[in-house]
Amino acid sequence: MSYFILIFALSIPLSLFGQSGASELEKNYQQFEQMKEDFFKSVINKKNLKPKLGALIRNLDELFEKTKDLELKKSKSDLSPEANQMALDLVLLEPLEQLADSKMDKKACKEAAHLNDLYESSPDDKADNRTKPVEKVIKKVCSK
Amino acid sequence: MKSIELSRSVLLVLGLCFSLQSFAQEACNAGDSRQRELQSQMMEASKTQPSVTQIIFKDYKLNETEAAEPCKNCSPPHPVVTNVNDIKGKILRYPHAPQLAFRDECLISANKNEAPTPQVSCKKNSAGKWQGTSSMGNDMCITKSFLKYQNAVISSFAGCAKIMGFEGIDYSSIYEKFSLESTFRPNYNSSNGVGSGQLVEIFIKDVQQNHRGVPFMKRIAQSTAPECEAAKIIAKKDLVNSPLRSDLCEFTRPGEGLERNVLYSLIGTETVWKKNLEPAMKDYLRAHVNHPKLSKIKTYVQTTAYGRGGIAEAKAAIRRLKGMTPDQFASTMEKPLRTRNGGLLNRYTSEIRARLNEIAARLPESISSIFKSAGGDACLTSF
Repeated sequence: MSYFILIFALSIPLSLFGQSGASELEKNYQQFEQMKEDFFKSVINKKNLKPKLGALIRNLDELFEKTKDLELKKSKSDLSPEANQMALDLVLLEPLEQLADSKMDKKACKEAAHLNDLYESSPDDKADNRTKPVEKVIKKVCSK
Repeated sequence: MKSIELSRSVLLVLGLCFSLQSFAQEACNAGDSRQRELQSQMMEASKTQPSVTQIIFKDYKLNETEAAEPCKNCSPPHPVVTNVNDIKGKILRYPHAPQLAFRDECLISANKNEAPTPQVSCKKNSAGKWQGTSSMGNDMCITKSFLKYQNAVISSFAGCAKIMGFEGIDYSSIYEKFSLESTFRPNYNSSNGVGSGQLVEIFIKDVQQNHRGVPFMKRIAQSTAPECEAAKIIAKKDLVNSPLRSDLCEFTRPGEGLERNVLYSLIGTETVWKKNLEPAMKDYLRAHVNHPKLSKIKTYVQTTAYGRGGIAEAKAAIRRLKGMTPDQFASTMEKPLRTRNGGLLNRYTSEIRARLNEIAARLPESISSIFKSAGGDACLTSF
């Protein structure tokens, strides 16, 4: 009887950590998404792209690292869908990073747009519209 | 004694007759036996001077049919690979013509898979220009000699690319991608892509961009290596006038379409490797340079990048896994890497694994046992 009580007592904090770990992952992910959304809703132009994007990437990277630490505490081998999504979302911002680091001339604009197109290479993926927000920013920055 | 002599003569006559009729009457490995357009276009191109197909026919001795000679030594044409590590050590080498890169059985088995996909039929119009029509009714016959020709095209072009210093050329990955994409049916055409490599529009454009694929195309066009004699014919033409995705025959027709498709697939893969993937894992590659799993990791990353949505997913997978040891990296790539939005970072490698299992079931036991663990590596000839 005492054996069962012991197992029960031990399992409570473990399962609680599992739940709080999972909700913490979700919280981080939501925060990550919100930061991205705020950036895309803001006014972006040639002048402020580099500082604004730099700040965004720093914050997103920080959250990504935090999420990986949480993930490690939760399980040594399983990779969480939240951190996988964050890794993908960070890659999808690369065409903007490339543009921000360039002269932002016609050639640089064309190359950034091409990289963005490459990140959405299949007609099947187009339903996701995952490259649309970046495409809009490239157009905005490059049209002026 | 006389009866033995007589049966020998009969066999010789039969062998000769078979060799004469072999290309025209050869049974289909897949497709409709009445639709022999691909075979006849290949044969027509092989007689045109000078042409890509003619060079490849000569280099790989494709006019010399095996049926013409009675079987003297009935062992397989290439040594059966029994040790996966043997193949790994040879990954940086390439087969010299007339040796082919892939074992015949592997192409024959992969080609048996069917998908309900429209196929392109190419006919010359009144102006002498090739025009393609894409329809579900064009179920072309694919013979074993036609598969051998495709094997020769890949062997020739990949050998040229290796000589030109392309570091992203991975034979195992080429076999696996083509097996999944088109099952070596070069005239498949759908929204997913065109031809053997199922090239999508952005991939074709990528090869034709000055800041992306063009420097690699130029390297081939300017090569003086005999191994590049065939590939450079197409590279030179395309540097002057690049075809569009909508020019279906330019990416499917045996003669210069099927071949262009292979060339673009190689150049595009190298472009993505050098411009996107290698920079993302340079430190990792340097840190584990002698690790036996490194080439497997390279195959996984390259095949992931080739698939739909590929490059971004492959880069995200690198970002996630580069903190791991090569053993962990490779084994994690074999499991589904789910994303929060319901996707997979390695969807393409999962699809390839499923296809390889289907192929394995049709392979002779001597290959399938290694194939199950080594995948496309088991299909490489010994070089």
